[in-house]
Amino acid sequence: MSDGPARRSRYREVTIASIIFGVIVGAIMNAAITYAGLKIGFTIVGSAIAAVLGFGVLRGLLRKGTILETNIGQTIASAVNTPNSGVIFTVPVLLLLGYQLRVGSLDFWLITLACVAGAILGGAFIVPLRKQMLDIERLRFPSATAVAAILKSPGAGPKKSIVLLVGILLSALIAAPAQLPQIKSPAELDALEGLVEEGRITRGDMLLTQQIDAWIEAEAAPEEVVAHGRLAEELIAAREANKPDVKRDLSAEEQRARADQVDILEQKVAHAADAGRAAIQRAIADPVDRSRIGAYPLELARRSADAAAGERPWSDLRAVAVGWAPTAPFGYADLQIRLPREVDPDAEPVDFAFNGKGATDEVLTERVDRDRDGRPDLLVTDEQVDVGRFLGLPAEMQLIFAIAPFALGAGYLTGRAGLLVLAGGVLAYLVINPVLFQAGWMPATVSDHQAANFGYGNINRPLGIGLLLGGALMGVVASLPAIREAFKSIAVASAGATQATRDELGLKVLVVAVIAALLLLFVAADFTGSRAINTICPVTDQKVESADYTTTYNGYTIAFADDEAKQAFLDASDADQELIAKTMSAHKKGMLSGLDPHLRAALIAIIGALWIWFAGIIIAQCTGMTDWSPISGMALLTVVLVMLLGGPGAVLGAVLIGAALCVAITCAADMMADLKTGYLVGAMPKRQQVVELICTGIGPLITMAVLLLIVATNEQKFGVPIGVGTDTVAPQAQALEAIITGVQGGEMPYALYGFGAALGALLGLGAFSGLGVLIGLSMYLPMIYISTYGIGCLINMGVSKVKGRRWAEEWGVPLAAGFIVGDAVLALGVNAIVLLRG
Amino acid sequence: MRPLAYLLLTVSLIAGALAAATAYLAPLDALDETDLLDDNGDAKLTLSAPAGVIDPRAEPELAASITALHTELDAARKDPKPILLVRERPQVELPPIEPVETRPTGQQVLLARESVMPIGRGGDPLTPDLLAALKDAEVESVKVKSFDLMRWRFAALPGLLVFGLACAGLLAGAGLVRAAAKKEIDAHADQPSGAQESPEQAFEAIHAEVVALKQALPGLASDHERNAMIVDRLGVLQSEHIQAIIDARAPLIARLGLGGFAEFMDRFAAADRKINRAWSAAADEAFEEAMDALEAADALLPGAAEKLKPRS
Repeated sequence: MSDGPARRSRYREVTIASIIFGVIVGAIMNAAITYAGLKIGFTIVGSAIAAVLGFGVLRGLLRKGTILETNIGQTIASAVNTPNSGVIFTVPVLLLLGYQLRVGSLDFWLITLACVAGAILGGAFIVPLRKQMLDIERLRFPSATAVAAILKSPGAGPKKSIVLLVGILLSALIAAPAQLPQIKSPAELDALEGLVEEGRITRGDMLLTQQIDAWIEAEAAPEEVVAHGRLAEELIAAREANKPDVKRDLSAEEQRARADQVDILEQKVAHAADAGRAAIQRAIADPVDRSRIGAYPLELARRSADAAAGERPWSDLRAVAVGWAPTAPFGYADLQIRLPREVDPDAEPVDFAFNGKGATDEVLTERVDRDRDGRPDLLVTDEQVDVGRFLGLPAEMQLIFAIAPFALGAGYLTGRAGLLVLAGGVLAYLVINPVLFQAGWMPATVSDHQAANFGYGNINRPLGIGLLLGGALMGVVASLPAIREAFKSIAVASAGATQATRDELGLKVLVVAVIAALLLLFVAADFTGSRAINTICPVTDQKVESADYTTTYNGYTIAFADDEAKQAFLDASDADQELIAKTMSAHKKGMLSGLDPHLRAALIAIIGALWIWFAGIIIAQCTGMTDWSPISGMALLTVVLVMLLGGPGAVLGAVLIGAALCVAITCAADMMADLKTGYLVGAMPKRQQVVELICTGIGPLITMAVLLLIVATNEQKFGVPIGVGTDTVAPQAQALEAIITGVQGGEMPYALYGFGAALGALLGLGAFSGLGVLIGLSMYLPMIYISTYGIGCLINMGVSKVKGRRWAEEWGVPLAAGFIVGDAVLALGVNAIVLLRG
Repeated sequence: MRPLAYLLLTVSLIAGALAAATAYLAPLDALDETDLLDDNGDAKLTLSAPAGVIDPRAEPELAASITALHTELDAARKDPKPILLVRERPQVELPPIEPVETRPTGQQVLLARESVMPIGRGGDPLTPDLLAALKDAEVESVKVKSFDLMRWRFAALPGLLVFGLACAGLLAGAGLVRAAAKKEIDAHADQPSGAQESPEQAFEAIHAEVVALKQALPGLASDHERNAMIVDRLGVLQSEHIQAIIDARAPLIARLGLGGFAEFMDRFAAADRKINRAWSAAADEAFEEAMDALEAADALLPGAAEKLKPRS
């Protein structure tokens, strides 16, 4: 039959080239996205990018990649990249809470081990559910469908490839003015007035820039600023010399002298910063303009000191990092689409004249000028369009659309089912929050335009998480026959019975995974369970630098600075001990605190493993139905759960298990998405599962290494490891820190979770068991993305009605896939540029 | 029936969510000063959000009394470090910074003018004095850290009652949705629409097409032509007949039960995946692989057909 040679060539699927490609691309994306995620707070999965790159490398450069080989390449790349979100959402919180992560510390390796274990377990736990979710439930997985469309595009004919390309270009064009403004460069002096007028920079930024320019011109900065820089350098060196591992061999007196030196320098630096600011203010004539000068970046002082010492050119001060006003490529905000002016006739005038051209002393109403800067607010910013304000909806109603082609594409690919997500968002932001505000059930300090944000943080999110839990539980119950059938089928596969089932990984994998999960989580929980819960001595307020002086209280290990402090605690009355313990949240016991520490660790491990399995199902279901996944919500619940079991003081253990879970559920969702893509292109599930399970453990190692590098750089550059005051503010970790302090302060809205769960479970009783999950997800997510996503769903419905469903699938899917890819590629490119520019 | 069911679900969900949102509100009219303190004299309730506001410029005297109350509340908090061993911190003599004359900007003036002062702050214990100040300012309820079923009110009604009714509404709505779905499926089974392909018809069409394709391929001149035919004909199969089976989920579940549906889909999906593999291999010009996959799909389809028959 064949007109070629008689010997049959092997169809390329799992190849060395695809494995090397996947690992390299995944590692690069992992490192870049880890940095970007710590900086801006969200991450990119990257399957679509890897699929596009796969074509370029495997088919283009190597000229031999098949659809299935490229699929394996993208599977590995996303497996290596994906665990980063789980790590950066959780681990940095330890740094924010004062823990130290170093290559030499046990904590670092325990957390790394937990994350690697989580990555493998997440994938392994979800393997048996492949049949139920993909073969039986047929979940859509919009991004995975988009990746399949990319992979199939060369075979689907030139027209579809062109549509895909048009989608990518269109998406990049739409997203460019939303994303490019992140790329900042120093503004020209003559452009400063215009930038102030457009609201791109403040007048304070302009004044500081003009001063810096004057310093460069004169090759001299105010001596207070230079002194500030020198002292800051000295402080960083003194802190380095004061680290426990550096001064370990010194005498007690020498150690004390180093600690004193840090104390002295801290006071001097704080004073020098105030003096530097005063010097800059003094150089400005107008007393009003002087009050616009706030604290300047430390980098300005450091570079000034270096320049004054002749160690760098003065022109180095012309940089955004030192406070020089930035300019950026064109963004939507440059369109200057603002609300019409609306003057408050009753308001006493305020002198805004110095703000810039066109500003007057008339006070505008709060309706059009919420930030009270004397100008009507922008309706279109770089990232969003405020349709609610354009339509004149009451301020407590929020209707904002994100300029995010990926959300539009994901909505289109989801189609009609995604409308339920939109419905939940409408319910939360256009009905529930406004009613609560109007009824006076929000605090009186919350104004009408703050109602949406207050409702989101205090009501929608906790209720949404509850709905997700209840909905998912009901989904599992409703799907029990399908799950049973899937397990039966896989059990048959283990015996290698039929052609169909030989393609599956058997149940043995699950058994091995469960045992490994329990063992690893037990080891981690047991180790962390006996570690001190505090890093600051509760008696002396000094940093605890050794584990030599500890005692047990309420089942917790508490560490002290020295023996004297420990003795003082032991000699104190019960009431005083409780008060001291309260500062570390050690006054409350966990549910399992009374148990033997090893038994407690074993129980936490069992409950943690069960929770990982359940949370993995929730995340995979959410991703499968909508493309969104509530990872941070699940991390939050995990930390809360472990703190309830181990006690509110057991932060290290809670974060450790939270990190393992977070990595596990992201990997579970990724595994399922990759298997969906594989299904659509006809890949063998077993091969994908095996390569993914083998390669996914590399991901956390890369992320932790990048994290260590960032921490080391930050400590050297800013004197703090991460968070506020550095380039990497770690927004998600800050949110988790707030949750931890919330649990410790007894501020968690457990009742809202419970009521939400009841509503979610009942919603799932109808014809569609996933309803609770979808409504919960939409209440959990910010409205701006839901609304754009909803538009995508509506477009799909409209196109299907007008042109027919087949047409909508055939031509709409590649276009929507292009929207997802174009946005992701542009985001990665912008992040890479930001990263390279430092 | 469906619109009514969805209306009931929506209304119940809103009512349930609103009732849940009031769970941490403590209505002040139900609180008595004597209920506020425990046996040790500590406040039982703590505010989790600010409560009540005053305009300090319009009511300077009241603002002063509220400030005094805040100071009192702060002072009453117990010393968290009763045995703090203060280590001498080295003090540095630093020169004073010459003050710089500044004046507030228009924005600062406006924000200060429009700022309000909370009567109770988040984290404040609800003491009798604070309760009195809040009642004087006609504050109706405050948000507290702890939940109490007995305290829970939704407007004038017990919160639990409203939430319970909402749950009952959701339950009834779910029942109505299920009944409506069953009715529609039964009606569809009695009078199948001519325009829509039934799952059986779609399944037969798939099997027939796979067999026909296998038979047609040897007649073509080259592997390239054979691959092109596989891509074209399986492409149509995927977007038409396979989609028809996926769309028939609800009637199939109604007929086969969820377990039976799962058994059918499990087997059908195995064949479907082989069809997808045949398409990919053909698109990659790997004819032998495409043919193998087609053969495998052909072998798997009868097993799925068995599961499509209703159980006796």
